[in-house]
Amino acid sequence: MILRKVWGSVWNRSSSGKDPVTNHHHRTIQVPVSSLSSSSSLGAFDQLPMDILVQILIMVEPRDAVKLGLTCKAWQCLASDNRLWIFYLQCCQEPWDSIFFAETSLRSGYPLRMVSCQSGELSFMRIYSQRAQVPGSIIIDGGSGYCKYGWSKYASPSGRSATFLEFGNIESPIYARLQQFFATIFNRMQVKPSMQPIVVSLPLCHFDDTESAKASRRQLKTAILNVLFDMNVPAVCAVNQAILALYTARRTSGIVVNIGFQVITILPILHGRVMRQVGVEVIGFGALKLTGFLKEKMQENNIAFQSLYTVRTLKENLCYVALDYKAELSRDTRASMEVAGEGWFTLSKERFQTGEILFQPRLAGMRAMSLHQAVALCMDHCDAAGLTGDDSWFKTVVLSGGGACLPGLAERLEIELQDHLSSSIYNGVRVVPPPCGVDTAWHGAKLISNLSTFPGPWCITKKQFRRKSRLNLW
Amino acid sequence: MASSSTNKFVLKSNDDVSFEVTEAVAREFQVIAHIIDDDCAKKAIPLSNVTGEILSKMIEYGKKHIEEAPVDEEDEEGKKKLQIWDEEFMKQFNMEIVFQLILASNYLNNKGLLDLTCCTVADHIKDMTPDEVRTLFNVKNDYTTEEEEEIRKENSWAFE
Repeated sequence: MILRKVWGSVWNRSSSGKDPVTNHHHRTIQVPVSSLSSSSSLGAFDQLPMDILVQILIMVEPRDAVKLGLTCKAWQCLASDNRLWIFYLQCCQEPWDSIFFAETSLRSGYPLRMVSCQSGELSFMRIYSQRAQVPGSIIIDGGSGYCKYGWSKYASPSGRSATFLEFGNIESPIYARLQQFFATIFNRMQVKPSMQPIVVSLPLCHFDDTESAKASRRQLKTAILNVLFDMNVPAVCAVNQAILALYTARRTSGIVVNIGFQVITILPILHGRVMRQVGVEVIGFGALKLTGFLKEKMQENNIAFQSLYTVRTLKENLCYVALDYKAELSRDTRASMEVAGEGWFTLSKERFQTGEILFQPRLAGMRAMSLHQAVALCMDHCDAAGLTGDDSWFKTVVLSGGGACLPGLAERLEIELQDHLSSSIYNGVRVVPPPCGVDTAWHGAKLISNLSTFPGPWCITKKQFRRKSRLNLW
Repeated sequence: MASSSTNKFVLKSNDDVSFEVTEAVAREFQVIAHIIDDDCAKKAIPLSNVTGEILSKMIEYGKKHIEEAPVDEEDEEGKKKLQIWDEEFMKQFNMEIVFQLILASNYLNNKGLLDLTCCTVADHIKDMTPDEVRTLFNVKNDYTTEEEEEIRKENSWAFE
């Protein structure tokens, strides 16, 4: 207990900056370690003041700290302190905020259970140790347009492929197609399916709160699991794409706006569950339509190109969403870029007219709902549903999906929401751009796959799945 | 006031060894710098916690870091040279002396030497087994065999 206090003072001091020098010495020399534990000693280290022991521990590798802890109980007490292991975790490749979010909010699997770090429930030494032992897994986020796949221990997906072009619609429960899809990805990654767990994203479809939609979702999930277990994958974690995107934003509740290949989906999520009873909004166009619209505009303006791929590249690199559409029309917005194999292109108004169809679908001759209307509607429904004591859970809007990567989209959506929501609902609303760009959902899966408790509570094993199927529990 | 390169001060160890140093070297140790600033450095400055042997090494370190100080932040070559010298400097000491240097540089407040000495201890521990750490640093094992086994098991990753 006393040791803990000393850790605290040492730590606070090192973060609070400069102390008067004399005072500094007075304090540290007054607390010789040997007096703290009479039964157990640190050997020769007893003569060093606590803040220097801390400094040495910070300089050794985590595995050396474990080793020191193994020498005697006094060392164990010192070397297992949460603050030390938080420091080590902060030095990891993954951002500490994400590790902390995952280990406190996601560690229990479903239903999510928030763990407080103050209560002493969490030992970050154990968390570090368990994370170091978690096996690497394969993460496949099969978006309807593009699939991102890679290793859980790597910083980003190792590859992407055009799902729709290559495999067709992978959102329908067709065994042969799904099998070809997963076999191809495993092949590209040059891994055996049986060697490691897999985290897959479940596509955003069949969202109504009806029995038939529920049956369709179950059918698709069962088909995916069947395919994977037939390939002898040892364990599968399957999580909804929008929920994964929300986790990447380090939230378990909020509204996810996914601008997919074919459709835009707006999902209210509470404690890691899609609130279908509140209502999921769907707008019947997506990133493909944006590319198509840019193509039309370019043709209208006699800008020649050879492939749709070029148009997509221009969209990804030159297009943005205007904060104020009318004002933007009178500005000079010309910009150029070189597309490999096709040469230089210059766009001007097309740059922001493309994204504008999200807010004014009629510009593209569509009678769909606009993005801000749909999000505002979703928020009104959330507010009316009164699911929790306060309304803060739906105030964060997280953008995800390839189409949501247009610069300026989040800012513009926030402005439009202000105009379309009552001030009590708008108060506190924040729109977050895709935290990891097109790979946002993939990174949410990565958070799960590196949890200290993974694969345990997040995965279903082949045995569990077969038993469930036999008992018809799906 | 005379310039700090010509101004001299005398540092006196707890076993009565005196060292005359320039003001710049003396100021390498923050505690001494404060004494100088407070105008309390008329006579020899007594350092009650440092032996002559340790003080001479610290002054050697301080001198080197004044003489060979890198020109500026971008002087990578200068930094590298000094770093190599630091490594060589530390090689001559056993752990007992290193510990005394840690205490003295903490007492006199020289952050560079404190970091260097702590780093030397940390580096030393790196390639050792728990048993070797116990022997070298005189740590008494107060675990039962079962307790030790349990910690090993829980942290097996660290012993791979």
